Amino acid sequence: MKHINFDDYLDYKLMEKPLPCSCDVCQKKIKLWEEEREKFKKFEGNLFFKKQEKMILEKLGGKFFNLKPVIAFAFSLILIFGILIFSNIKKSNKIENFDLEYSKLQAFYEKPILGDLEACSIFFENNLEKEDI
Amino acid sequence: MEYEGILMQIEKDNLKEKWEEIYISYRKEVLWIALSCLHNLHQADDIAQDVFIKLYKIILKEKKIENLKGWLYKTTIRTCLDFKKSFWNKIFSKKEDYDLPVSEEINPFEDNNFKNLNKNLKKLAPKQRIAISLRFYKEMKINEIANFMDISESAVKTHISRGLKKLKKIMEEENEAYKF
Repeated sequence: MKHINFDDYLDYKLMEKPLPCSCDVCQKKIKLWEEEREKFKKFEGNLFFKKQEKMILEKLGGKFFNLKPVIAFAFSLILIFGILIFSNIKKSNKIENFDLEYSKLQAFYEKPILGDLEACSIFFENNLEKEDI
Repeated sequence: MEYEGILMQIEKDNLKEKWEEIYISYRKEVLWIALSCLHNLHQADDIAQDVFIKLYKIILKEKKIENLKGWLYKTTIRTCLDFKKSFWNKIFSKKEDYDLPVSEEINPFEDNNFKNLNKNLKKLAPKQRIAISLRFYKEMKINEIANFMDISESAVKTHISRGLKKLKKIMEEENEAYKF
C-alpha cells in the first residue's frame, strides 16, 4: 500500500478524500502536520494588535474621515486649475503678440499711402540697385 | 464574552465600553481572516481597523446585527475583496510585493510542506485563497464558507478544487523534493 504524502493530506483536509494509508508511520505524519497547521491557526501577531488598538481608538476619538477621496478631489482640482492657468498664460502671450503686430500695422497704415505706380517704380528701382551691385 | 447569535443592539450610553469588549473578543479572528486573504500584515491591519470602525458606525446608528461573528467574517472578507479590486490598491501596491517572501511571522512552520503551502497561497486568486484558508486552517464547512463569502456552495467547491490544483502545480514546479 502507498504511504500518504502531503498531496493526500491536502486532499483529505480540503476535499474530504479518504487517506490511502492508515499505518503508524502515516498517522505520525498526520499528527505532525496537524500540529503545524495549528501554528498558523493560532497566529496572533500581538505587536500589531497593540498598534491597531491604539490607532482605532485614536480614530474613534477623532473623526471618521476617509482622506483618500479628499486627496483625489484636491489633486484633480489642482490639475484642472493648472491646465486652465497654463492655457491662459499661453493665450495672453498670443494676445500680447497680436497687440504688437496690430500696432505695427496701424503705424504702417497711418503713413501717407503711395499710389500704385509710385510703389512699382520704387520696387523696380530697389531691385535694379540690387542687381547692379 | 460571547455575542454569537445574539440580536445585538447597544445603548448609546455604554457604546464605547461595549465596542471595546467586542473588539477584544473578535480582533484576532478579524485580523486572521484579513491576513489569510491578503497575506500582508500591514494591509490586514488596515482592513481589520476598517471593519471595526464600520461596526462602530453601525452601532452608532442603532442598527441591529443578528449574528455578530457572521457579520464580522462577511464584512472582513468583502472588505478584503473590495480592497483587492480597488483603484487605490491597483495604483499604489507594488507588483514586486507579490514576489517578496512571506514573513517569518506569517510563515512560522518548521515543516517545508507547510512553509511552501503558506508561501504559495499568496499566488492564488483572493477568493481561492480565502476558501482554502478557511477550509484548511479553520476547518469550516462548505456551507459556512459559502455563507461568509456570499457565494453558492458549488462555487466554494470550485474555488477550493481549482485553487488546490494550482497550488499543487506551483509547489511541484518550485520544489521537486516536496514529493517524497
